[in-house]
Amino acid sequence: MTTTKRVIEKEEWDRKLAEVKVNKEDLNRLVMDYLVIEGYKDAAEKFSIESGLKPNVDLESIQERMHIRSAVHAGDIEAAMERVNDLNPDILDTNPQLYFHLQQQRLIELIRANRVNEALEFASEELASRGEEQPEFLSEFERTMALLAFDANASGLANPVSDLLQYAKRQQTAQELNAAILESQSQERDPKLPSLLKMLVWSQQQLDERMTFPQLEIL
Amino acid sequence: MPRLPSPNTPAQQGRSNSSSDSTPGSSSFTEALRRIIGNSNFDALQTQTFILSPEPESEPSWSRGLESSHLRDLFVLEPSHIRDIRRLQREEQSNIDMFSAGLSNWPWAGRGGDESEGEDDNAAEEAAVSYSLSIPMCHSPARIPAYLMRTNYLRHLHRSHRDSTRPLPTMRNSQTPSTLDRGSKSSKNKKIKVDDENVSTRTCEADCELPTALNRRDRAVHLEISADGLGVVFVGQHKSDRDAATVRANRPIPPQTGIFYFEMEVVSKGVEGFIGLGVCAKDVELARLPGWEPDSYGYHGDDGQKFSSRSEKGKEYGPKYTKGDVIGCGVNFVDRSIFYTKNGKHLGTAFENIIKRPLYPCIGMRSTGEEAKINFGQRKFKFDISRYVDEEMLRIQESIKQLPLTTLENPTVSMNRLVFSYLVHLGFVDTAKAFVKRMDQDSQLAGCKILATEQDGAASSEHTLLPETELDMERRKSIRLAIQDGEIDRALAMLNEHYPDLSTSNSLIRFRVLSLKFVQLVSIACMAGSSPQSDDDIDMNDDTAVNTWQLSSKPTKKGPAVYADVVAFGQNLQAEYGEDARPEVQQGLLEIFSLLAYNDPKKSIMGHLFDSSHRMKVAEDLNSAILESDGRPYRSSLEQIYTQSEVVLDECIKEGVGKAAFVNLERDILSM
Repeated sequence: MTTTKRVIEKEEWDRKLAEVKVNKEDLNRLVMDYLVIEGYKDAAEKFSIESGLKPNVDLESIQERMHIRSAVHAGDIEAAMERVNDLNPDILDTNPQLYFHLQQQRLIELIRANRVNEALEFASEELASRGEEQPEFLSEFERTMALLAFDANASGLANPVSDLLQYAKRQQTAQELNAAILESQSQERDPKLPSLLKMLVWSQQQLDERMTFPQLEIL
Repeated sequence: MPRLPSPNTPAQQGRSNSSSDSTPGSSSFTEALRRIIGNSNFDALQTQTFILSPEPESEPSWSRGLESSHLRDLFVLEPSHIRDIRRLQREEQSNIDMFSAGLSNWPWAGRGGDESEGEDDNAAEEAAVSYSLSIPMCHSPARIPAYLMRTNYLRHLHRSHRDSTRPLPTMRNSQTPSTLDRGSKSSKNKKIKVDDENVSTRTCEADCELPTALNRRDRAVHLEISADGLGVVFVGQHKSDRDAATVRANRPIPPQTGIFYFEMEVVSKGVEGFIGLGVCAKDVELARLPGWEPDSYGYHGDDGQKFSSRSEKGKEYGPKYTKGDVIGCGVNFVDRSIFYTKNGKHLGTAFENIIKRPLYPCIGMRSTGEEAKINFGQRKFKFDISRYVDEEMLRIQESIKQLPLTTLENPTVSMNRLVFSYLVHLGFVDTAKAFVKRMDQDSQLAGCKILATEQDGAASSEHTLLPETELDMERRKSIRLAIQDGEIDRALAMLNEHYPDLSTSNSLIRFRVLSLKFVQLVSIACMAGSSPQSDDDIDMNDDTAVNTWQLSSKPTKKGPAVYADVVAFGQNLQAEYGEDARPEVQQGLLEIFSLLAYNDPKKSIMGHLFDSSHRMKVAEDLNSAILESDGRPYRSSLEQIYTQSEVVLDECIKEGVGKAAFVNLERDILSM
């Protein structure tokens, strides 16, 4: 039974959209959740005042998480790891993948700073053995080492591992660490906002198989 | 009848009041109303609508939610009422939860089938005669098996019913609520004939109804169906395979269920025990066992084999089954597979990639005396289907979680942009500033030490708060706060100053803001009236005998003045909007003027108009209207994403995307 895909015109679609009732408080909660989990303490405080929404956690608990995160963002991985251990040593002890990614980030920062000797020393002492023990980390380790072969400060297509030098890599590491801290505090690890986007992507994929409709693109 | 504000009683009471009093109005409030809308309109109002009814003793019953008896009664009312009820039901989700929780002990949640429906001629006739009986029975959520309660099936029922009861645009403006005659007339138009499947499958209602019994009109001659439609016995003489006989259920399985499950208990193995359980399409020959034909699937008791093709050779599948065994069949629309259970034990997937045609549960037999009972959830299942459904739901939710956001170059940047634009949209200027400050810190880090990509650069410039943006946000915020604090005059003044287009236009939002002001005046009048003060009388009502009305019994010096305010403002509103044909305006006028009919408006059925949440809602909508008048989107990007997801999911469910039955925005994302 093959049928041609049904088409929904924009007009009809807009009518359907207009019919959806949105509870503004739900959206506010979604944003508050994002601010808290992502560690925007000041913004969360202001948001609580402006939206009249009480945060469901003590905003003070965000502070330390923020410091740690800023340290990662600033490339000071050593300081970040120290702070995490002060907070709760279990976090790194029980999470080998996170530990590896932090060490990897440390190596990246050394290479970025052109401290080549230190980088090599650190790599052989801290990372190489770990890479041998856990082969799933090995290829990542090798990619990181490949950074040494390229000029760290010259961007360009020629460098196949330049993604490691980008700020997004620090963000990614910081996020992983942030999630682990949250988990250790029995809070939700991930904000719900990305889930909403995933839900949108997923549902549009599902419906696209059956009908043609005005899709919403996320920028 | 439910205790909806009824059209008769208020008028009677209004009359009895006026006959016993020397003055026609029973209070200064009603007098005020009379002045606002004029005498003739006032009289018309009194006889036509409920607004002059005294305060109800208690909440009207329909606001308590899902009691099917009430629903049934209400279905003879206007479609607009039905919409209200549906809305209330949606809003009172907690009631639904309590409702389903209370019933979850029963596999068939809610009222048992107190009459067999559909295939029973008498029942079908009854249903055809009385709309008020047939529709609610089909749609009362009380008739859904418990394992479906957490899926979107229920929501789909509500929606499709809402769609089908949506009045035509022409009806919408012309009819005023609640006369019984009109109610039943319009309901007749929507009567569905339950006994004619070909007709009913075309309607949305029938599309999503569940199979509930065996269809005695859709059986092979050798089979006899019990009175309740759940038992089947082979009564003929059997000789060969040609004597095989199958009966189909009364309806196909709606894919909207996501997963559908039913069980069969073998009562007697008869001579041979050639019994098969499965599903098949509508046009599959009935003189065959399930699975012997294309578009038919079956699991047979005599050899434990599964069948799904024309060839009569089965494939090894499960154990044999016979008298006393309970066999279950589950159709999984998520991966389009079928599994079976025996005495509560899952036997594994039997069929994959099942056809996309509507499938009917079916039982087949082939020798004399074979007898079985089918269970669509009316009785407790042997197999823990709820758990199976929950597991499937978790699996799907997890798969969505794992979905990479590959379309986004940098998810963090996108997320931040989304939040930032939301803050700008709402005019949360302080939050936006704090947020931007952090963005700046982050992007400075990104900029000076790290190879910034083009994307990062673009993102950071978007996160700067331009002075004009900030000013605009501040203004919108002040207006919002003024409205939230009930300082409507201040809000109106600011609106006039900064957004004159909007405040002079004939917009709905302007009307709503003005309505807020009226409500506020009433509130002031109430407070003035309730403070014990002098005996100064109000000139509008000399009748001190009516002492239930606080304003007249305990007037203050300020009383007449605030009172005059209410009247004057109300008259202005009436003059400006009385002829406005927009239903929202007419409804709005009715609501705010009805406040005057209660001796304590704040405790009346319209009391929510005084709530801060009501003002908040208006403030939010005003904010959106301001943005729209300025050429910006009415909805924030976040809200757009939400609404789009809702509609897409809705359409998925309607289209029968099995997975969509287990995904729920509100539950999975917004509930925290």
